[in-house]
Amino acid sequence: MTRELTSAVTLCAIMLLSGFSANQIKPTNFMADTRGGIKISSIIPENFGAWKKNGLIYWGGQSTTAAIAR
Amino acid sequence: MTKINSSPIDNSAIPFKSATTKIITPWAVTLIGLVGMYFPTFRDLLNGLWAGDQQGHGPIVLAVSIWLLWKKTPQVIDASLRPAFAAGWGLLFLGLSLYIIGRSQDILLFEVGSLIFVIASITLILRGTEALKHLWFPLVFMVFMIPLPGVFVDAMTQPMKTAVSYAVESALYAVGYPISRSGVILQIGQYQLLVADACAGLNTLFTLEALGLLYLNLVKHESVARNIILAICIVPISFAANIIRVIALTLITYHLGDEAGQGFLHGFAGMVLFMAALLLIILFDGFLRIILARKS
Repeated sequence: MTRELTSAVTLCAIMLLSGFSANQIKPTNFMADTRGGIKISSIIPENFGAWKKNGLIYWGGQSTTAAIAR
Repeated sequence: MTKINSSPIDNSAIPFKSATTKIITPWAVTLIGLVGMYFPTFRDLLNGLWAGDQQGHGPIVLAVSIWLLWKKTPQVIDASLRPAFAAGWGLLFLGLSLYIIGRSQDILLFEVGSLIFVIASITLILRGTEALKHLWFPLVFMVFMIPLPGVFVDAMTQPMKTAVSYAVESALYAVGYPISRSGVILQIGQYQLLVADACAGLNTLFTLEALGLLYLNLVKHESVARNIILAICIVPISFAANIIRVIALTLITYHLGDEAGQGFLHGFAGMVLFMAALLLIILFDGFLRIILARKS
């Protein structure tokens, strides 16, 4: 009984915590409206994986600045 | 010297009330967590996606799943108490990860689908594999309430709509109606009808497949062959029911006018679809019974 109840209380706590966390980071949630929320796609930088060399931004092996200049 | 009683605990000596409390309390505590976690999900679905035509079957599938789970309660309680902690916690981790990603990023496939993993993991942790085996059908049935991704639905729906339109045109033309077709647009007499997604879509097929599987579960055939054949044949039966529905709507519009076709009778044709499907399933089941009885 004690073991089962411990499992049940743990399960209940984990589920409530998961539900709360997911709702907190949900951008469209009413609770998150004032705090912004987190959308994974929006926190990834636009040129994710890009690097700088000699003042030029490289992305995918090509300098984006150089490409614009051409 | 005190005599120590080394015999096993006599369960019959435990008062009934105490035994019931012992079994129910862990489940009740877990249920609080489960409801707390999924309440916002189902509230959003009922106010959004499930309120529309496309996913209108969702709440029905949920209600039937809950009823099926409730029906299995005695078997789950009677199952031997051998918790599978490793599998249970592993499955719970998967379910919760899917839920958090799905809920926070608006991926309903993950959010709603996670419920199946979570319920399975709870059963494994609180009772064990034997109990989970009793719940296989309600858990599989829950798949039908998961909203399918739009890309997949669109990709599958278009060919189905074309096929239904073609079948309706061929059938009505064969019996002498003045009908022609351009893609999914039917022209009958002075009326032009568009075969919409709801008329011949994948969602309808999904709903009818759920209905068929529920029928199989309720009638409980012992023959495995009969169950498998019937489960497979539900797909063409659903397709045939869709054709019957579109034929009914086309004929209503042709004979009774546009208003009748788009008004009450349009909704009634939806009922016709499900009645026709159920009738076809029962008829086909009867046919299978005769065939298999003759063979055996």
